[in-house]
Amino acid sequence: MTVILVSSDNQDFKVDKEVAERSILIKNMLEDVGESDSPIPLPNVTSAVLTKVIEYCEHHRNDPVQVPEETDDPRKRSNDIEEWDMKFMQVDQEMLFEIILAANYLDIKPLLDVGCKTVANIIKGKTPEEIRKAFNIVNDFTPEEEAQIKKENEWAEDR
Amino acid sequence: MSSSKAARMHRSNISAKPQMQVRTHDQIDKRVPPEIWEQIFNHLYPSQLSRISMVNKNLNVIVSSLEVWPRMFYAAHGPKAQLRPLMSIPKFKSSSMIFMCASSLHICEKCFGLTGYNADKLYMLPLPIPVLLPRRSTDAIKYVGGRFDPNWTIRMCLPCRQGHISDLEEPIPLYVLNGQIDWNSLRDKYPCAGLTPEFRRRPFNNRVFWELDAFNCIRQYFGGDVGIKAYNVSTEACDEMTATRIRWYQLQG
Repeated sequence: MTVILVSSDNQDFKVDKEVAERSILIKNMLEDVGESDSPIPLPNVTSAVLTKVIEYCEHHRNDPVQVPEETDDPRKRSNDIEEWDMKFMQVDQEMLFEIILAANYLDIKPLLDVGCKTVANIIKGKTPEEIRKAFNIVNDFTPEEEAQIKKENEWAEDR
Repeated sequence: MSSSKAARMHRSNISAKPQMQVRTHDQIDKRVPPEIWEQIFNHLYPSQLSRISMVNKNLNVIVSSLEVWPRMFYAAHGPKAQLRPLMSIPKFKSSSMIFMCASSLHICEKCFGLTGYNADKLYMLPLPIPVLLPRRSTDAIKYVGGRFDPNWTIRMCLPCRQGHISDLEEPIPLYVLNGQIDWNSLRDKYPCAGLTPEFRRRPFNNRVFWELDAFNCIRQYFGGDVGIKAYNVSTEACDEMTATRIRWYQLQG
C-alpha cells in the first residue's frame, strides 16, 4: 500500500505506507483516517527536505523501534553515528537544520536524534567565536555583559 | 559582514512570498526551538556548554536553564547544599550554572563527582583535569605538538580517566624510549612511579625494566599521560582559584 505526501510547495511524493509510518505524525494520521487514499499535506516541509526525509525513512524502513534507556547518558552516545547516517547528514547547514525541524514536526525520533548528534559534534571543540562563525550567529552582548559572561565562564578556559 | 547582509536580504525576499513558510527570525539559534537545542546540548559536557553560553543572549538563556546544572550541583554538593546566597542574580533563570562554573575546577565533568580540597595525598586526589576527547570513538587520540587542543578536553576525576584510557588507548609519547631503564633512572624520569606498588621499592638484584612496560604500568594508576603530568601540578593554586571564584560569585548577589 502506498500513501501520497504533499510538500509545502505542492509536490506529490508516493511512498510505501511502511516507509511513511516511520513518521509517528503520519502513522497517527493514517490510523485516525483509516483506509483512505487522499493525499497527506505536510505544510511545514518543502520538497527538498521531504526528499531527504523519505530517503532516510526508506533506508531505515526495517529498523526495529528503539526504546531508549532512561539512564542512558546521551553524552556517551554522541560519537556513535552509523556510517550511512553520517554520510546522509553531510549536507549544508541550512539543510541540516531543516531536516532536524522536519524530523521534529513529523515525529521521527531516530532522525531527530542523528541530527542533534551531528550538530553537537559540530559544536564540540569550538570556541564561542568559532561557534558564532559556524552558525552565523551575531554576538548581541553589550561589552559589559560580555565581560560578565566571560568572567562567569572563566573555568572553561582554564586548561 | 556584507555577505551575511546579502544572505539576510535574500531570505527576507523569500519569506515575503505568501505561500512560503514565514520565518520570524533569521538566526539559526532562534529558528530552532529551545527544546531542540536542549536535545542537542544533552550530548555535550559542561565546559562545552559553558562555551556555548558565551555565544549570544538567546543561547545563554537556553544553556543556563538546562537541567544539567542543578543535577551537577546536587551530585557534587549533595541535596542539603544551600543555594540561597546564590539565588539573587535576577539576570538568569538558573544560578546553579554560574555556581557550577565557579567551582568546577573541582568537579568531574563525566560523573559530576566533587574532589576534595587540600587533599594531602596527590596520588589519591582525583583532581579533574583535561582529558582529550576524540572526535569519534573510532579515531585515535591525537596530540597537537605534544599538547592537547584545550577545546577538546573535559575534566575527569581519576576513576573516570582510568575508564577513559581503558576504552581509548592513548599513543605513547615521544619521550618514552624503547629500551631498558634501571630503577633510579625510572624514578628520576617519572617521579610518580614511587607511588605505585610495582616501583615503590628498589628491586632485588637491581633488576632493570623495559621503559615502555613501566610507563604503561604507571599510567594505569594515574589515568593516562594527563594524570602523570598532573602529578607535578599544585592543587593549592586550584583550590585558591576556586575559592576566589566562589567569593566573586557570592558578591554578585
